[in-house]
Amino acid sequence: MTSEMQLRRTPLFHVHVEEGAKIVAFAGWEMPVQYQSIIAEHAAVRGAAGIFDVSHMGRLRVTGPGALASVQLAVTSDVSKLEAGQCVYSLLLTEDAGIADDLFVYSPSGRDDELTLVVNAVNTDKDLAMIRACMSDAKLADETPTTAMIALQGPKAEAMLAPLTDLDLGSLKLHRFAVGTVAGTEATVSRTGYTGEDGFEIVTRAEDGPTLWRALRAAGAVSCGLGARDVLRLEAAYPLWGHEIDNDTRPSDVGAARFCSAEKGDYVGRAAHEAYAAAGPLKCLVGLRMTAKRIAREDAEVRVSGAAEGRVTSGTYSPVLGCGIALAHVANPHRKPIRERRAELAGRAAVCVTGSVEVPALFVDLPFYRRGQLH
Amino acid sequence: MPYPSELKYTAEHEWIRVEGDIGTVGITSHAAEELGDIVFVDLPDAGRVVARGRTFGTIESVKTVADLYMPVSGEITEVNEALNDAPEAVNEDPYGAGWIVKIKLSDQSELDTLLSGDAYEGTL
Repeated sequence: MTSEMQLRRTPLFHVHVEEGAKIVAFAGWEMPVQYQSIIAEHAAVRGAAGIFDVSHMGRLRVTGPGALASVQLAVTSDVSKLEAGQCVYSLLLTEDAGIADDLFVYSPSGRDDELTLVVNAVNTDKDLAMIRACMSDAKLADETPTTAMIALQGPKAEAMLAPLTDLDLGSLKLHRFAVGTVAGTEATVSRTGYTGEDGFEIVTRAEDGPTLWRALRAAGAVSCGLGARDVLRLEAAYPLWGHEIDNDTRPSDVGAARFCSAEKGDYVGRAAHEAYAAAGPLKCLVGLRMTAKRIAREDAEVRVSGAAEGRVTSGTYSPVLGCGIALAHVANPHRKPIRERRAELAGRAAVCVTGSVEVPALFVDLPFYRRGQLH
Repeated sequence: MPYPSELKYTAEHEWIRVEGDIGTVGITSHAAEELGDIVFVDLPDAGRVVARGRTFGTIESVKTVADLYMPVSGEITEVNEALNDAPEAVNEDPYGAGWIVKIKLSDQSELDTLLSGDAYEGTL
């Protein structure tokens, strides 16, 4: 990023500053990385509930008679099966099946003429162009600047949100969403998240964002930054674009082939994905748990029996496990299915090497944390 | 933020408190704040001889890692074993319970090369 590049601010930026958050540049935005402590914010989400400003994520709307067909051609999952108020995790691929982005696709009405997408902030402009290239008889609008998005995550999320809304949250199942009133603001509430806990993501008008944030705070949610979000998603082993997934990583490298529908028509990258998956992936996303009091970080080399086998894509400290954890890409020279390659490595020793620092580790099953593990 | 005037500092963010020929060493409140939540302190063994400016341990926080540099030459006489179970003491009380090692100074004149609290603050 160049210094001339103007960083964007979300509708909640001034609230974060008021709350004393530490602000950093992230994906072209000025975002809160932490308020008090990453550990305390992580504990709030695992034990009660926390809120995150995720307004930097791209919110796109595709409308018109060709909306469904256009999105269907752009993404890997079969979005024709979505019912009104349902959303699905999906991928955007390059022509040679590299993962250009991961996203959620929402069907507000169940009709073919309207779909919304939530994409990674860093990829929003690229995604707009990729989707536009797939469009016919449809319009594409970027609603990111006019809306705010807040994630409320944690085992107490439903109990905190229920008194603030007219929506029946009990009937709002995973990957379902509904439009209603939250804290007096008009909002779209989806049961989705990126922390491994139960929770919601709430989209409201930009000008209503601060009202919604303060109401959730008053209900007991703890303000959380990107630092805690990264620890939480890593414990849950959710990939982050630019780390576990990128243009050089294909769905079958990371266990994401299940998000690529074989039943739908053509989509960008389909032929390349299917040929590669049939031949078997050349690398494999795995989990590592550090066995010394050190933390392997991104780009550490992963060695097994002295030989370089791959590299760490993300590493952090897991408060749940009390040790360093990492996701890594390792070579898969015999092109085994990812499940087999992981099973072959599970329990084996590795060393994560950065310069002269060698951190011993073990290959472990993913995810590192499952909901309810602490209770 | 004031830095205690009875301590001496390095530009690498360590402090030392000298009593007789024994110095107690830790990291500054500024360093602890910048590192964020400290989760591991990799401590040296007592008895190790360390030259001024050499690394004697490592601090891991959730988001980053930092080496520890010895402000003076000498022999480590004691390490703060309590940090094995409670590394957060470095965040909570960097000049007290968060001390890291004690060292027997081999050359008191090295203290003259260290920074005062005001001078350290000026480097930030």
